[in-house]
Amino acid sequence: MFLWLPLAAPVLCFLLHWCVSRSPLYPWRARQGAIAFIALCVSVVYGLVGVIAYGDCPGPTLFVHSFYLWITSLGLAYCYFHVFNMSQTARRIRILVSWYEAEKEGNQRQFGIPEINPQAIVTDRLQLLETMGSLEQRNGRYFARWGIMLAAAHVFGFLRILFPSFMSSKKS
Amino acid sequence: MTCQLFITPSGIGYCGIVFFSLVLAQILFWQIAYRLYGGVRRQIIAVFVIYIGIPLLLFIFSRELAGTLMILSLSCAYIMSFPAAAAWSPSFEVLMFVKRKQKRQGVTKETVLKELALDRLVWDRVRDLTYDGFITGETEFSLKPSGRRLAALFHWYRTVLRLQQKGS
Repeated sequence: MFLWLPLAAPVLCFLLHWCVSRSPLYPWRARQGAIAFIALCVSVVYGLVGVIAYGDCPGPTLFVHSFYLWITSLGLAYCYFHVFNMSQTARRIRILVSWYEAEKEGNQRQFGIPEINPQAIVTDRLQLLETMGSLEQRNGRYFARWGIMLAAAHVFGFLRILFPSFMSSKKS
Repeated sequence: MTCQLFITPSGIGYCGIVFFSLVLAQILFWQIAYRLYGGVRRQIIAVFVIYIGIPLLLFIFSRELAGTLMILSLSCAYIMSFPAAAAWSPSFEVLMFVKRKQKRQGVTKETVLKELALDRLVWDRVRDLTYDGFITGETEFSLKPSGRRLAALFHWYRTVLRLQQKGS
């Protein structure tokens, strides 16, 4: 029972997310920060359950069980956050869903290249990076600022060297 | 032989060692496939075999249930992140481009759009979908059953959570 408990973490995240989408907190249902917060809270609650359930045990036992509950539920809650994130921003999912909806609405079975404007994608990302503080604008010109995003970009750049593939375009 | 039903320090150690070994195995496999065949075509399947299949296989011998569950949880998180990292998010691409070109005078929006807002932003993803076996075709495309199932799942998810507005 104890071992399987973390498997419910993504379901808990989904239920909390569903509650948000049907409450006055409705505008938060589509915000990445809010869903990441839900995922983190769920994993912390799991860790606390471990602390409470094994509170009488010696230190190492208490630590090991709380750590197991926290890290396992965090991994699964993170998966939920990622599913949400993909449903919002992943171009592959957008393409699949738009074709699926077109199939459902009519009898169309063949599709051309999807009409997603690359200019709109890049403009959105520029705005997003500016809002996050990763880019700053001075006299109409952009400058990159050191922070989590730039550090993550370097890490992912390194991962692309470790995992060379068809997916990672060599041109970029 | 009974299963280890409680997590122990050795279970956490088992999880750490196996997960680290899986990452090394993936690096090795990817490098070999890149040199021999130009890359791994069905990346999703390969990642699933390495990060889900191998821990399940190891469980048969180790009977370390708690450690295996922990590995699978970390594997799931990794599997979810991997395609996004491999596909190179436009946000990272924009950020690295500005960092590379900014020098002292910065980069204008027009330059960024001219250099990065290319059709390949969409084309590359269509190619990925073909390689992963979700769609078929060369100039005209159609959904394969696996692609239709995945799309139906996300369509349902977005409807239930009232996420009508699509992101970029």
